[in-house]
Amino acid sequence: MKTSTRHLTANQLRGLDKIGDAFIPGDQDLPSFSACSCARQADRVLAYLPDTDRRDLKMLLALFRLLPGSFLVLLVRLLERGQNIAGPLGALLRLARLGLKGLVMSLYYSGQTGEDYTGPSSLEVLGYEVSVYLDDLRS
Amino acid sequence: MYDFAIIGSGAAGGRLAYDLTAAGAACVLIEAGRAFEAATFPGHELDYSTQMFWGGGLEFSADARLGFLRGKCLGGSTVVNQALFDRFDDLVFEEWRQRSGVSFFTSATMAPDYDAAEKMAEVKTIPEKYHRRNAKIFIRALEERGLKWSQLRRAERDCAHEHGSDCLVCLGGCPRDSKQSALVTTIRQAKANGLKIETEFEIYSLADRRDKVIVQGFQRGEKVEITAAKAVLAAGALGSTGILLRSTTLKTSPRLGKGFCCHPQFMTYAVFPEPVDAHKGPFQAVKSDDPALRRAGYKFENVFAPPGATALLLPGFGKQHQDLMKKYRYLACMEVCVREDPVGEIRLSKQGRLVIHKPLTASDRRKIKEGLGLVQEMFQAAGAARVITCPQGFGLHLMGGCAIGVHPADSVVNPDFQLHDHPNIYVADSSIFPSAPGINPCLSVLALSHRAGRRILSGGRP
Repeated sequence: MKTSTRHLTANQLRGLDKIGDAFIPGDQDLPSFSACSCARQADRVLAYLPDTDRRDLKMLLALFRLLPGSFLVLLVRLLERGQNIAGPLGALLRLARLGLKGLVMSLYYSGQTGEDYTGPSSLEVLGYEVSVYLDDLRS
Repeated sequence: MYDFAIIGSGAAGGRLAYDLTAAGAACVLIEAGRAFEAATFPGHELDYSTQMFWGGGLEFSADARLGFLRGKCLGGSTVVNQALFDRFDDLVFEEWRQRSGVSFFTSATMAPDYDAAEKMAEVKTIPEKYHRRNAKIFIRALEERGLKWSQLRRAERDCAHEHGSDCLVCLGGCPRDSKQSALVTTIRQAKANGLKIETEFEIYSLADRRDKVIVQGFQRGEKVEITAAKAVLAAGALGSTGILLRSTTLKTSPRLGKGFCCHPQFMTYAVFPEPVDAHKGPFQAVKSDDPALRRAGYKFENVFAPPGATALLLPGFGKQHQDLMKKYRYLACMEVCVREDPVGEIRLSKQGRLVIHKPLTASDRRKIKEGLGLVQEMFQAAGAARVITCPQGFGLHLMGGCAIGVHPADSVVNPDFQLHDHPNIYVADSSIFPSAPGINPCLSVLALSHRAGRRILSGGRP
């Protein structure tokens, strides 16, 4: 199993797993964020972020590695409930929520999993399957 | 030296490239994003949202209340949008004429430009037999409320609906080349006319040397300059405005960056007892089309989103959020799209990054609240077990910032599409809009850029 990626150190990956589990703890049907090892796909997002955004995100993920999971659940609750706060604090909370939730949800609901995970992917559980008919163009 | 450097390759840039090369001009089309084609679109939501949109997927207003979607690839947003083709109505043109003093803003005067734009693409509606449950719920909800609806006019060639194509895929580019994007219409033909294309080239600024324009930027990390007799900005509201704001040697209007607007959209999901499978089949077949809604300043759209975007939009987290996501196949979706006031402003940070101030006015907030209330009632009347309003708004159709007008004091661009003090620099995209139309702008951008192309080629002669 990969313990680091091009853009994330092992500690930052662990931080991503921890904040991911705060958003998606898993249940009998869906695996937790960390269980499906989707964080290993993070470079597919991080490579295209503006440099300053990527740097800030990596600092946050390294910090999350050090914080207890229960604190991160409280943080996520604060981010979700802080949607209507006015002024710069509200803007910061909304931006943090969009950045973190966006990263976690896009990785998890990509259906991509790590080599060490053998269960059904999130998309299989959802029943999501899409395709465009191309057979007539191939012939 | 080129005759024209066209900056931005979306609806406007593609159309200008076609018109100018067809007249024999030597043109270069400059695009910040990558060149994809049907066989090389990233395909997966995780990859196309990061690789084909600015900001790695989303950009945000300064207060983060709105997220902005802006295509970054050859063909621009026309590759990743829904190819909806609506003409603006008299309500829009009358308001624009009053705001700008520009006399060609009438339905009759613009009609030949619309005709020319429509001629370049196949325009269809989705036959009713292919409507899926999300569309049927939408229609029923509107009808029970006594509201009118109509089929959306879509620029598409052959989506193979009879073979069950799932058009949600095409939010990341259409692998059948059915969507009539700039990539497969105007740019393809302009290439045949000799158009030169430069991609992954981010323009930083322009310098006007009176007999030529120097386009300065970075291509794959390397500093590059391109020289042309004239430059045409077609990079959209944020792109064109941002380049002009960074072009500190130009004399620009104090109105530059002001009047930014969009169509804020707020999605509402509803859980139904039976599967809806809104992700399957044709996507966005119908729209609300009611004069009362037009007067009220908002409309309803029949939309949906892939799992990653849906998960971001749905409020909450943890097991409650997971339970909702497990109902993905049972979700229907409707959004409120608001015709807002043009009070936004695009500025630059000290680091040269775009800062988008986009406050929602009291009038905007009233429309959003009224629209979301109606959606809630309509979904409940249609049999929804639960209705979920998403708090995060999205700004689609980014407009303004370089408003067109007769008077230099209250506009950036003159009626010949030139910067007031720099006749060699043209702007011909949605940044010239005087206000938000409340109607999908793609076809009108094509029509206006065709008009701009004609004005450029005529040298401003009537």
